[in-house]
Amino acid sequence: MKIELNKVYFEEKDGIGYVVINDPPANKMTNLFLTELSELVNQHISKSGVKGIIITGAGRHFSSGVEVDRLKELVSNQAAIDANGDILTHPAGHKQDRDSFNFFYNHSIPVISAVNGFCVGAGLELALCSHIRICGNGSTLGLPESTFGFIPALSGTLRCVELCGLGKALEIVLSGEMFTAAEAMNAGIVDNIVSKKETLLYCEGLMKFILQSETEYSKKKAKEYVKSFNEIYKNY
Amino acid sequence: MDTYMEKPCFFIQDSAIILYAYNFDSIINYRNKVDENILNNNINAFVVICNSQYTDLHMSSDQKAELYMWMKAFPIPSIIVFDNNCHGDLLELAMMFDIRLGGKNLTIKFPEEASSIVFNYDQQCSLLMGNNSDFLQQDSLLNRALNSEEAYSLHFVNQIIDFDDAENEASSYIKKILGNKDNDHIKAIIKCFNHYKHLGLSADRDLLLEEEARQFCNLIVRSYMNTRVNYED
Repeated sequence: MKIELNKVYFEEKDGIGYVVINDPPANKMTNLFLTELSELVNQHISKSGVKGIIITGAGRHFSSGVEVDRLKELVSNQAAIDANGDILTHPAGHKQDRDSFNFFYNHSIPVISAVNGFCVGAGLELALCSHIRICGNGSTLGLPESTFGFIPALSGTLRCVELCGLGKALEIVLSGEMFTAAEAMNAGIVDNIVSKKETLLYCEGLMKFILQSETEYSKKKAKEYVKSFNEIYKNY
Repeated sequence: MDTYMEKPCFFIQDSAIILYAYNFDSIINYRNKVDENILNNNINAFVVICNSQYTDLHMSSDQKAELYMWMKAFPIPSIIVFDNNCHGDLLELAMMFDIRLGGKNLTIKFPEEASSIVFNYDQQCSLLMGNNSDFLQQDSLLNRALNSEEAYSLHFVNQIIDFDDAENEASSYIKKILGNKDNDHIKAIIKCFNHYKHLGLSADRDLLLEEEARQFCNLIVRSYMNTRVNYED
């Protein structure tokens, strides 16, 4: 089964659900993409019987994140602020986006992100909401929101603290610097680096390995799954 | 030793307060001055430099608790630069800071039991090193000793530095992470992280994410308004 929207599609194959950001080359997270992702999550993915989910981007990149100017305008028009500049009403669109990202984090089935090329801003936040992140070599990651005057807000700050600790998370968010896949792995943000041509193949193998495991799936065991799978991957 | 002990205790360099902690009182005594500088937007980071070889750091539980509450809600990035043996009260102090920069001779000795520590030790470890850390999931750091490399690989320290050049190392690090961001922007980001410090990572997820959303909206509206004002001018 394949549900194809303008900027994203969901496809079920052998019990695995593929969520593909489909706006190459950069796979920008436009308003249309975010609305469609929410629709896909609420109306299809949550009701599907898939046993695991792989999130990836069509073409060379995972996603280069949201359009900053458009985001500023949209949020500012939707938010109500008081005389002190404090928010009275949060923009509905932001809550909807956060809910669709958190859907993946909160899911009890394995969710793996297959990352290639640029995985930046909200793109990285989506990947951070999956339970396991596998990076193709040569990938570039980062949360540059602070360099545009704001802050990652689709649970990126929290996921960074959970994965790499307060100090490193602050460093990543405050500096907004880009980093390589190897640096991301040292920071605890990604779980493995493979050849960029094999990224999706590796993720599919890892997903099948997890699903075949006799013990109940736990997202807290992500590193153990990757470690065990690496021992058999070459012969897979 | 002579060079280290000759340093002035408290000064401002590149918009950061640098405080040499020769003893616990040197931190407590400057607390009002630090708060005043933060309030007046004179500084964007607070750095404490501490070499355990020359530091006499003993604190009562009440003093530790007072300092912990202060640091937990600290509105700008707090950084401790430390070297040599770090255990007991110095370790507790180091764990109250947002960011740790360690000298090459740093050795961290974790306590035998967590009960003597003023804050929730397990919660603080997962906050500082990430609750997905391999090590924390499989073992505990209690009674363990770590050298600087091990502390770095566990994300307990952000960077290993040349302690003889501690001030410049701290300044370069601050420049790298803060760039030319204004104080309101820095404070908004820190507010979001202080929320995690306050609630702990095991708190309800929606509750944890509230501050991130709040600061995001405030910053983005502010940025949009600034753009509009500049455009209309």
